[in-house]
Amino acid sequence: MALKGLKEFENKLNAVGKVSASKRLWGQIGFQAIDIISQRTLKGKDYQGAAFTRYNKTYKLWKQKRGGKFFSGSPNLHNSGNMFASMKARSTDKNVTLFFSKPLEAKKASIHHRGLAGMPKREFFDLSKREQDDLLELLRKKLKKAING
Amino acid sequence: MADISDKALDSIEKEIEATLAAINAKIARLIGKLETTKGDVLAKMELSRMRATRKAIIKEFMAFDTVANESTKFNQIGKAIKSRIKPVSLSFTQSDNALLKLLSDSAYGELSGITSQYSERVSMAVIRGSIVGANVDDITLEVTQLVEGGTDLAGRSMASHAKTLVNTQYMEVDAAMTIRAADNIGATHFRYSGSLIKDSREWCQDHVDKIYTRKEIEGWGSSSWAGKKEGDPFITRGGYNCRHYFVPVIVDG
Repeated sequence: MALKGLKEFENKLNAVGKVSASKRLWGQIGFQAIDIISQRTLKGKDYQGAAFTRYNKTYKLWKQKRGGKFFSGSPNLHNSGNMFASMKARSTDKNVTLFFSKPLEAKKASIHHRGLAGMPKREFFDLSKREQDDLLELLRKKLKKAING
Repeated sequence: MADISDKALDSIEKEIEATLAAINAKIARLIGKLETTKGDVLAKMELSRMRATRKAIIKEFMAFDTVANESTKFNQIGKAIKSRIKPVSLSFTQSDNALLKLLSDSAYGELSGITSQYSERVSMAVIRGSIVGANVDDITLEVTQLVEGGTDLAGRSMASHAKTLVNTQYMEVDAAMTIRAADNIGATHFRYSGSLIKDSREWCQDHVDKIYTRKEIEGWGSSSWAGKKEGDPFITRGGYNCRHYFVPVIVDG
């Protein structure tokens, strides 16, 4: 019986090791982080939950005309969709990095996030403490699933 | 990778050479810009990015010993840095070999076609433009020249479609990269993400912000709607000029 228990424990440990050191899992966490960033930005909020600096009058009018009934009035950093479509996750077995696949989109993102080139700073490309905790919770669930089979 | 004919290899080699030439020209322009506008942060970032991309291309495709040695050193430094960083990190400017892979893997086959005569040339121009950081207008100019004189299946001028082709394929390049990444991480669910405008198709209005399984998205192939583009639904999504994108998500924890 003891031996059986030890074997089961060993299997569980192996399963945990496999999941926690998994490039796949970190990749999944990375894309989940992208989803969090994208959904929050679409709501017009930065990573700390604050509303983005509002549009200037001229740009707002243009966005209003283009958006029609879907125009919310809040900046959401979506125009062509190219910048967010370009956000990607690259993982190793220890961590994951979010980045922009195209240099032009990386530059646009940097301008928005850092407030360069005369644009207002809209810090979207980051994760709040709560968002990080949510991602950790997902990791915990995955590990628990691996332990319990 | 599937077998590639000599002709296809020659074509890829030419595209890689053209990409390197475009990058070299851009580096030269950026250096010129830096000389005239001292302290331009963005130009410096872009220059650094261009040099990194050039290095990655050479590393990926040209087996020069000296470059390989440099790459080894670079990797060692990279590993040392990585061991100290937090699990989820964010980087604006990291160079991405996935774009180069698209170039080398004849990925223009994945970006669904216009007419076979033009699809390859247009797709390669868009991928090349994406690598060197060209904007959509610049790529459109190149594509307009590429297809000048040609007509589509309905006999209309191809040049008049250039902007739509570029807009559409520029997004498809990223869609192709996402689905490849999703395959690698075993993703099973995807959110159809993005914003809506007054011209958004009903299809996109109905589907945006919702989460779908792989099978459900594959099923889009057999549905029809105005503006739909034939091809892999993970790549063509809502169709021509579609502004939406898939994000792999975890639904079961």
